[in-house]
Amino acid sequence: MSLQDLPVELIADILGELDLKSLVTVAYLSQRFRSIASDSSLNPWRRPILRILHSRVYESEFKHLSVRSIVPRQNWIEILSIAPAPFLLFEATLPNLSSGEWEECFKRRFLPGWQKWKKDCPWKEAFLKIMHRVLHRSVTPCTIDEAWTKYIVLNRNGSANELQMSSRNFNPLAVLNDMKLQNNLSHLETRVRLVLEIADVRVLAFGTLNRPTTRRNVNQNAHLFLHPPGIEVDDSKRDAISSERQVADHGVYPMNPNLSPASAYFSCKDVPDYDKLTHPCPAKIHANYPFYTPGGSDKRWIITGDDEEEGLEWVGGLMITAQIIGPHTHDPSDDWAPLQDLDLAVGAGRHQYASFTWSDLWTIAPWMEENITKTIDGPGLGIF
Amino acid sequence: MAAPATQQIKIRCNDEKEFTVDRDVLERSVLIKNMLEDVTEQQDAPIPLPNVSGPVMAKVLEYCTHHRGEPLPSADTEQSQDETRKRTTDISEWDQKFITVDQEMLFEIILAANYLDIKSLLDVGCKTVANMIKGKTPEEIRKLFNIVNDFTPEEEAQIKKENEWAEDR
Repeated sequence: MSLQDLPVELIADILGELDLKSLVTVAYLSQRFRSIASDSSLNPWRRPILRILHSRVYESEFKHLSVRSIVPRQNWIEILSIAPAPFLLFEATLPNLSSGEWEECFKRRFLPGWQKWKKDCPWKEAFLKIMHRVLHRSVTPCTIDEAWTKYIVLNRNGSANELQMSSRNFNPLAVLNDMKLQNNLSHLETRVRLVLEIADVRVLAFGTLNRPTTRRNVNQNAHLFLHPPGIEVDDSKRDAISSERQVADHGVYPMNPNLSPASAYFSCKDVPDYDKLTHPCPAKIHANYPFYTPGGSDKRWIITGDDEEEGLEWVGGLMITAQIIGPHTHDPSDDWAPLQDLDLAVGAGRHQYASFTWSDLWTIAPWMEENITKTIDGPGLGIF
Repeated sequence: MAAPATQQIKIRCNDEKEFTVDRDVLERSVLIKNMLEDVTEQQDAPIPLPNVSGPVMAKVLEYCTHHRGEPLPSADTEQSQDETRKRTTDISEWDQKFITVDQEMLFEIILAANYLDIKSLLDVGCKTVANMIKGKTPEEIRKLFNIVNDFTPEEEAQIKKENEWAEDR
């Protein structure tokens, strides 16, 4: 019994444990290894490539992988969907993919609303153009490409508005402050939740929490959006979460950053037609979206003890917008606990936003379609 | 109160070697676990394992005994841990000592772990072979695993060209 006598699936499994450099070496050892390495159904390249993509430490072999005929083409769908824009635009040698493959990459990488920019050009051109645009916008305050930034507000009465504001003046915290003022909620702190992160943007929700005196004040759709139906509380973990609680204050006061707020939730498997999001493809921290993703970064809702959001409920409107991820977006900001509340919106690399439209909402939260009573384009109540 | 007696299960390898093992140890193998779940009544006849020899099974049982009681990966955790599992070639100290065997036995263990469906052991085996390969030159790897270079000179030239193209300049 020797290495070559193992079944091809097991050899591929072993090759999948290698780093890219070693895998390239082994792939050229003999005819048998070359045929295993280049077999698209065995594809031993996928795991080393995913490790590189998630570690963001790119080996030199990775840059020009496309010139190697032994690497199955399908790997490039994942690379183009996940790798950072500067790597793809300035370092990597891009492969010759079909139009369908470029379309797949586009749909896996970008928000569905961004297809408006495709127009009549081929998918490859559209993909690369948008990649350039998003990279440009992530490092500059430029708004030429998108003079108006659209966002969605889930209203307390069940309706939702798609609104827009000049990109140059767009500041979601200011927009929410205005909404709070109009709804007599100025005394409440602004709460921010990271809903979903994809390759180039993260979807943020801005709203206010309170202990309402009457159910009329509660925004049920805000709760549903952040806490999708079919994801249930794991009772066995409530106590553990409760004991981890560090600060009782319900404000933006920093909570224990190690607290994994939604870790007491599990995905309820018997919910029909409820699939993990693939287009766009969530970042690793939201890999199971819309289900809970373990790891501590999925902080869509916060529970302490028996209470979600510390016994408070969403009141007033909930604003949903898409923040462009720049080189500094993930840097820690001040003393705030990471990935919750103001840390998400205040600090370096957190000031560029892209449009978030109806098509984006229906894609990332399809369950909202049956819960939103009226969709209104523009401001107002939708009464003509 | 005395702890309930653990059920003992008999298995027979392809060289007729028989082992009597605690059920919870054997259930590290998903194959055997499923077999036992399908049997409604207690049977005295040993479970035949035609693809595993006695010495290899003894090693596998040593591993299963050490890791008894540890949670088995569910289909779900398996999927979510896929990257974690593959992220590192780190192997625990005990597993490293356990897997320090000759090549013949190492590949037999990998085959047995695959047949018996013991994911964690299969991982340890694959990672061990991967660690043996890492950082070595093609010639060193060929020598280590007795791999013959069967490329024609034309193919060799083609590979050389491809490597030049793929170099980061």
